Amino acid sequence: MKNKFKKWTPYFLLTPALLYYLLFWIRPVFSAFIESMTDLDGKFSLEFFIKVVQEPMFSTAFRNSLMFALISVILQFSIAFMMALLLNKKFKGVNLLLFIALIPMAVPPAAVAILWKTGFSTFGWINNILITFNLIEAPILWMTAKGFNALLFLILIDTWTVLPSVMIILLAGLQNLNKEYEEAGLIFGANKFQVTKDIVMPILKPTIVTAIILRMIAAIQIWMISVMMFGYGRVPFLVERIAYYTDVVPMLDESYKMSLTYSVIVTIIVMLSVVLYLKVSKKNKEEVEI
Amino acid sequence: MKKLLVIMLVLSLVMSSFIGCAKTEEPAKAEEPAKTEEPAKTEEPAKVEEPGTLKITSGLWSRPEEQQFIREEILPDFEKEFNVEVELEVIDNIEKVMEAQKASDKWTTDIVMTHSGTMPLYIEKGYVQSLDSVKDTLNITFMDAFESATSDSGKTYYLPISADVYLLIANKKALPYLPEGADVTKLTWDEYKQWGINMAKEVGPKISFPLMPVKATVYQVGGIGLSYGSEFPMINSDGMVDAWNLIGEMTKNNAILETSFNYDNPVDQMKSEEAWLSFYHMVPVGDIYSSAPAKYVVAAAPTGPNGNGSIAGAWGVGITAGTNNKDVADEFIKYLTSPEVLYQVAAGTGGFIPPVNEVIAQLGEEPKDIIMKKGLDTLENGVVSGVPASLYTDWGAVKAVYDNVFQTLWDNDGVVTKTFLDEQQEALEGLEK
Repeated sequence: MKNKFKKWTPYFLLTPALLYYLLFWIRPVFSAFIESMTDLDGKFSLEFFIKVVQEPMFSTAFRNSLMFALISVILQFSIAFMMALLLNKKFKGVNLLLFIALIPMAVPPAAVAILWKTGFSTFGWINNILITFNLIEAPILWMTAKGFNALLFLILIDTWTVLPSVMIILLAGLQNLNKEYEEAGLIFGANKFQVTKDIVMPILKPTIVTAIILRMIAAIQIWMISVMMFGYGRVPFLVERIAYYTDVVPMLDESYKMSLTYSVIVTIIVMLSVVLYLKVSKKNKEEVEI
Repeated sequence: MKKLLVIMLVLSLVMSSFIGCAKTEEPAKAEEPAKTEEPAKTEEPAKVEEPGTLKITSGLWSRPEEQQFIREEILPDFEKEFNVEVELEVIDNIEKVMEAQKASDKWTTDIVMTHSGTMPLYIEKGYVQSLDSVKDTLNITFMDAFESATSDSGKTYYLPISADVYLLIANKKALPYLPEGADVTKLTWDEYKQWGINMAKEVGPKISFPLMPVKATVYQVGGIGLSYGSEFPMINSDGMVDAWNLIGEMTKNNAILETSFNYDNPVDQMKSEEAWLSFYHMVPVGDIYSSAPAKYVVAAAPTGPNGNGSIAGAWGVGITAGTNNKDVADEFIKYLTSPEVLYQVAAGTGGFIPPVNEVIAQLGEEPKDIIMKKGLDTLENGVVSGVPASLYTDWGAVKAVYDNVFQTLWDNDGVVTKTFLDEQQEALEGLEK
């Protein structure tokens, strides 16, 4: 009897989590897929996928989302890794530096947008600092950036915001690293760069993969900073389109299905990106092992 | 055994989730029409003496500072007098809330505050009940301008509590650049344009024309169009072609600040003096003016061949069809529409026009009063149009069409072709219900 109870215990314990996923994750996702693949009469149709793809803003939103994800992930990982390496050293003031570096993580996206919008306005604090130090003569109109410049602008703001979260994951990985491996590398004649590249990074790989996947997903889902800085449609992203159909034009007959179709497309892109990234990293691992 | 258990568990969970799906698609009470004409519980009014909750669902007072003012300065007196807790909920899409409450016949909202553009729809759908009995007890007279929106078939369903129009505001630093002979208080749109161009030539672009997408472009341009004899929200009428040409000339001559695309109101641009001139909604204008009255000049909307045009809005208060607190709701309407409270609300929330003649008669020379008077001047003497949001499937989509025209005009050095305007008009008509 006791043995039987023991056998069932894991399933009982898993039930709440399963229920939660079924009700709040699988069911809505499943419903979204169904809704996106039916027309307004509820019949099977790919009409809304065609409509989304043919929408004038789709190609720009798609390109912006992918470019944003690619550039921001590379930039944020590189800087975060360097900062994590620095903060992993023991020197005076490291804790204070860590505290300062983590501050942006505590600022919510809406507040980030307000902070930077205030800063980048014509008479904002950024232009004021530049003028005070005689670096510029007249205010720079930062907020009039368009196209790729506007995208870079958003990447920089996003980088400021999310850098601490990437850094903290990498720092946690570094702090669990056995120092003896690095010491062995140095004893055998490797320089610090080689030790980092050939010893630290491969050991840290699971942590790096986690950090990059989390960032990639969040980067593809960017929208709020763009809307708060530029408004809807000026620097479109895929998730921004979902918000557009949900918040700005919710009463159109097609709005609900358009937003769900965009959601499904974003889900597919996120899944494909993660799978692709995992495949590539796995392939690299196999090549290294060979 | 273990496998069987797992399969049974998964199957039961999947089935329960599908049952959940089915239930959401067909709400149990959706087919039972709600009684709106004679709400079930209105015959048993709640006793005013008993402590309870009065819930207000409002689209008005969307700015946090407005809500704070109402919660701290207006509601406590009523709560104390009637021993009731007033819960104020400010949301964008009230229609969904009303629709859900009517469909389920579970009314949690007692008082509803909506824009004049949606009032006819709410009356038609039976979300609100007649206020005739309350109105008869009030010793005040409402402005006639909103009669058509607030009433239907001789019955009053809403009482207007605030109105708003668009006004001109200029920093006094801009005055030396006024075209010769122009009077800032009686400006024409041509003079406004030339004023902007003069400033652009001497000191750079100084007009704030807030263009944040899906915000207020439609109202600013629409106001100019009304001055030129157009109907709102037409895009391609002769009057609107004139309006687009006027804006095009300002654009071509660098009179409008490009940073206007990043703002949904001119407050920051005007207060920082990046901009010296704007034509905008009276509440942000009141905010700018009240911050330093000696620094600014406020005037009614500039005029065109047909007068000074402005989009005018009004907000009204109504009682939901199925309220469970009819007596308290009646008392709240009486309290809110009393001249003292109405003035307090109008002044405290930025300078709306109180649409009650007895309040208007008491306006003085305070900055907020001046804004209210200027607004009133436009409302009474100008060419005004309400926002016909209820005629369109989605007003946000209408705004987006206007944004598209403006962006095209901007990108093409101030020029839009008639063919393009006709296409956009077609898109607009496609949004009609």
